[in-house]
Amino acid sequence: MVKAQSQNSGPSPLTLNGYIKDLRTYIPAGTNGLLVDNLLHNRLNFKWYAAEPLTLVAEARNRVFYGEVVGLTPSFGTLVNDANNDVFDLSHNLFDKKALVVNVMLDRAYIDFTKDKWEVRLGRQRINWGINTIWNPNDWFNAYSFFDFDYEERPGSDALRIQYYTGYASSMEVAVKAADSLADMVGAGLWRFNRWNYDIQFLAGVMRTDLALGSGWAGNLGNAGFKGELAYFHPYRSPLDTSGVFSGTFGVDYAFKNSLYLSGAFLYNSLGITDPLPLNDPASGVAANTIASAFQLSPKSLSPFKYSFFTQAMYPISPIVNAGLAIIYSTAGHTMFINPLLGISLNDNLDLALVGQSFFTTTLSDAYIGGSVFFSRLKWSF
Amino acid sequence: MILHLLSKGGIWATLGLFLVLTAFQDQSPDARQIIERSDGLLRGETSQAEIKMAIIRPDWTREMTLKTWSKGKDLGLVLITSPARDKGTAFLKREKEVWNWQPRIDRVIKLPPSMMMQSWMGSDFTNDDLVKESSMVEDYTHRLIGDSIIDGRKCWKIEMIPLEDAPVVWGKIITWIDRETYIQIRSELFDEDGFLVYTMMASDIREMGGKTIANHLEMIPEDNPGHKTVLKNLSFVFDEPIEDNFFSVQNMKRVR
Repeated sequence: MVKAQSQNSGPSPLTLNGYIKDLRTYIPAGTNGLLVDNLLHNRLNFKWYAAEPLTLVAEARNRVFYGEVVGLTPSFGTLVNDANNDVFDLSHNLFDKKALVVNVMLDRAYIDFTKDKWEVRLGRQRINWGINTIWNPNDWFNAYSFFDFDYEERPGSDALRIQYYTGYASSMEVAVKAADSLADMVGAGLWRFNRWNYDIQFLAGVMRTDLALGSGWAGNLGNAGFKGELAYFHPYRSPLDTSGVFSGTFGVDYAFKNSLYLSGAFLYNSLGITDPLPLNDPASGVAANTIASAFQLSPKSLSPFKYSFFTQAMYPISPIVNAGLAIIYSTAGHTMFINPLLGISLNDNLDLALVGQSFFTTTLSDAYIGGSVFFSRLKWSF
Repeated sequence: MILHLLSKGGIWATLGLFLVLTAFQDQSPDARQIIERSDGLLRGETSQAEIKMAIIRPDWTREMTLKTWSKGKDLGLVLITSPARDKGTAFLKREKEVWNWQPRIDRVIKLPPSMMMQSWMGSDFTNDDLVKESSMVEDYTHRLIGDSIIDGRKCWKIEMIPLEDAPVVWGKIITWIDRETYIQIRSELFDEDGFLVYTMMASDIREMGGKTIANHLEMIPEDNPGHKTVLKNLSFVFDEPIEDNFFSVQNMKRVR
């Protein structure tokens, strides 16, 4: 009899995989010419199936940054060292001088205990409660930047997570994230079930200084995918004197017979603005960075705007060449993010990606400004 | 992409076309009965397989290996075991619902049904070659149009014309079915204007996992010389009982 999880006898108890990537960043900076930076990036994923029911996981990112923006940015090394770290300090700069920074960090380091329908995980891990395609107001444990396309694994949280599977697509879950103070704590429960061919979830808990409630769904309208997430956050100190924040999103996606894939989504953020971003005219060249940094990294505020729209088209020109275009638009200052990409498989494990990111917005002085960043990335997976 | 493996029974139906079963009495049933036998023999059973797929083009080749588990036509699990980039990615199918596990981002993605109707992983297989267990029987009229010998095997040659309102892209299919094993040895797929578009060829017919099946399948487009897609069985196990809860989101994340 083949049982769930009984396939572990054959394969090796210790696995290692990962990749080496070389990411080049090109920023046209007006009179300063073209700023070029490099990120050499190695990822190592270790998994040790120690003994039923224990599995140990450690995943490391080893990164070498060098280039012009690295040199021009004050305390670039400190920024790299702190970003994506959580409560425990699992990040270390081996070298940090001028235009060269070498950083090693563990973004996963956990013990997994799985027995029957129980799954308990302790340590630095990714708790991904998002169910929608693009924006995830239900992803309370790790907020991340949409623009950081090169970090697909996303940061980890130092947390305890207990899951109990109640059916083939249903489960109950509780997770608590370690924190230095009560004001930084995130703890929540999630109930997920499948009904009417929809995955449906409800969640509730504490997110930092707020009580949080959320819900999400993933199903279809006809042959199109239909997904969404809602979340409401209300400060638990003096709840009557403060107002809550509501964030809601839904999206539809469809894949045509010729493999063209289209996706569209809408995000409402009650905290967001309908006026242009409060920006002075930034020097040309840094415009792209300035606008990107206005998109805060919090589940409460996935966009600085009250209304945001997303559309995306992807098309495989051939089985080894993929072309795509994504656009985020907000009526506030006609802010636009345009993101073309081209992915080319050079062989079974070597991939080339060419990515563009252009930002446009209206400033306080009513000027319409924009800036672009271009990337080329070579990735070898093993 | 790989989703098509799962399309309305995708790989399982393919394997139905692809493998098919034990010997039958050599009598001459009518065309519809032949197709019914050829098409429907895997139903209600389980299978576990390891399959290698190669997309071959004049300038390049891409290979992928997969492990698959199926039970009836409603339950299926596919795990990509190579290349390294995609290793660990898994797909779960339960009736009409399909979930995708992306281990790198620790996320389960529910796939829209339309994604199951595209061409298959950029290969030369299209959905209509692989899907719809019932359509081979119910969406076509069947006519026995002769006998042929292919690769030394005595075959029935059957013409299949889709019914008027059938959800089928082909205008006509001519298929050669081995009289001994009921395996579809060769199929020619024509468009609505009567032009040959694809030829599908099955070979390496031998016992695997206790049954006589075709272990090598090629799909060759008519208009693109040097293009083809090849499926090979690396291993196959039939009818070993699999619990229903093997086909769960929890197990999709764990299976190796």
